[in-house]
Amino acid sequence: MAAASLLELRGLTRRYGTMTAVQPIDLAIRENDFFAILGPSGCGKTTLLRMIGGFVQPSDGYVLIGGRDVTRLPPDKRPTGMVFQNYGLFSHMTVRQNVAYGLRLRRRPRAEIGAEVERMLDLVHLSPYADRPAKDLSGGQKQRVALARALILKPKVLLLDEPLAALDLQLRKAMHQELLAIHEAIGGTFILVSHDQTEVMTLANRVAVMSGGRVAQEGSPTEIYDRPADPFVARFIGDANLLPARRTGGVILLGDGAPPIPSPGADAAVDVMLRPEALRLVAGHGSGLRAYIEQVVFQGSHVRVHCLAKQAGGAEMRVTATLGRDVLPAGSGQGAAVSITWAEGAPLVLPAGA
Amino acid sequence: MRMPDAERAQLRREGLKTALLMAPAVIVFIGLFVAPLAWFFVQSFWRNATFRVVPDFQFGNYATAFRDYGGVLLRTLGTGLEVGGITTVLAFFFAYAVRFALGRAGPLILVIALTTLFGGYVVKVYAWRSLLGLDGILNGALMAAGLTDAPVEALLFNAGAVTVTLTHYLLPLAILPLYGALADMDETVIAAARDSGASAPRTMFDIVLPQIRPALIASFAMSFLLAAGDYVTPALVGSPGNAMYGNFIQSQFGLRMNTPLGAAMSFSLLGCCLLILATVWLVMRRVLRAR
Repeated sequence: MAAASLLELRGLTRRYGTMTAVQPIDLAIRENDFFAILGPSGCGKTTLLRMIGGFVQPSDGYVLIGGRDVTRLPPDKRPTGMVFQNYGLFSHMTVRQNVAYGLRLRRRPRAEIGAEVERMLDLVHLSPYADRPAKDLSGGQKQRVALARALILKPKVLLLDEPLAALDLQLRKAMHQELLAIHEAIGGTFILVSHDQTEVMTLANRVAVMSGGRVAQEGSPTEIYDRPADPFVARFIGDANLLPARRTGGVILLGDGAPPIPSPGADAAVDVMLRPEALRLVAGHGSGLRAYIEQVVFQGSHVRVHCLAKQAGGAEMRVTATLGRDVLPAGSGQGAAVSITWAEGAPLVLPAGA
Repeated sequence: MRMPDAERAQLRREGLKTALLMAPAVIVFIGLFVAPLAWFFVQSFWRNATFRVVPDFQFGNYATAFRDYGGVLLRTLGTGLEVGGITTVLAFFFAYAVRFALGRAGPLILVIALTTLFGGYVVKVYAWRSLLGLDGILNGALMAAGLTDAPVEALLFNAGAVTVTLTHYLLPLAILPLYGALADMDETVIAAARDSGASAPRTMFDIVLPQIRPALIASFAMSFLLAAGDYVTPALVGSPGNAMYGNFIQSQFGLRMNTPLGAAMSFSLLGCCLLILATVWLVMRRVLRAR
């Protein structure tokens, strides 16, 4: 490994009674990573984050930060800072008092605290609101106060628990840009928990996809998008056609007209993943998977075309393509015959799964 | 722009309806509370002659209330502060445990604590009498355990017994506002304080207590006022030597038939209580402020 890992989780586990919320997890997160933990609700990602922050005691395993074991330390003794989903602002304080609180606890000189607070408020664009009561702010402003309050302590690891989930889409996009700019400006290791794959793709340089309390796959966003480890990850990250097929003698046949897909390995049931944007449609049944258009859905910059094709076994399967409006073949109405084509190398063969 | 006539008529009808709805409560409040209180306030400046009250305007009654009964007044306010303080602190710990520490058992324990409200006030006073008395349960237990040979007399008929009884009676009343305030509190705020580097006690003083300050003041005010104004508990479990101000007020209206002095003493106690509450409010605002 090139850079030494800053945060290390070793066999970290959390059980609630007979239910295991987090299966033993091993993770290494490098310094200055913007690391995202992505997963559906209930997959254990928030519990994992809370164990790193010290708010949940692990049933088993270790948390190491900079090589030091912090597993049994309370949150106030850890070099972590957390931004909570519902902000957790001190409602009886002003914005300035909220941001200054941690430094005041550390008994820093008044002038130093003042300067640091100004710098942080400036960073999150809240200087004009410094003396407002925290409870009078809007959702986006509160989130930025929470961010400034955590960042001012210069935590080695900043934990972000679905920090933007409560904001509307426009504001969320703006905050994405701000978060990236802040990470760029001050560096440090950020760990983001989110169920929003677009958010994760936008922000993170490393991603762990969680499902059922375990890490299903870890890698860079492009790795995970292009080479998902299993059908769950494929479906969770972006849209995916997962087409059931059989591998026979090192070759997979998807259906009528489809070019054979070479795939070394023993004969088995597989799922072939094809991203909708990797597909092209040609009018009429020529070379390519033969299908009929079921529905064309206008989506603004592009159209989604749902097609019905026949599997090699004869059963029907739905294939969805996402196309620019200009490359939609003429006469592509409901019921039109089309051939679906893709570039060689576009299909990814996954073990058959849920 | 002028309001259309129809709209104005509508507003008038709404106003009339509100006035009608409030009328019974206002009449009862003025007739049964404000008017008698005002009447006694006027009388507190009058003079008592043999078996009748002479209209006059002088401060003699107030002078007597503070001069002859000054010591009792101080002791009464002291008892009120002591009971109010102990009750509020106990109620806070109880409410905090129910809210944050006891998990699913919390609500059940809260309900059990509140069922003691079903028992009448006098019943509780008598209960403590039989608990602390010479042949009471506590003495029985002490003797059975061999800790004493003879029953301990010091348990009952003194100021301590009054404090214990009043605290027990007021505790559930003081728990309610505190539990309500803590139930409304977001646990994330506590987690955020810990994350900022505050220890558990620091979090309590910097974050939890300031956020529930109104409830702390409400709990204290209620237990302080009820304790300082009480005259049944000291009569039943206290000693005659440390009767409270309320006992003397009662005797002015009863045995001594000196309504003006009784009224003056009542308003003196009321005024002192309000002064103390105002002080407590100011101190709390100063101590439990955002830093």
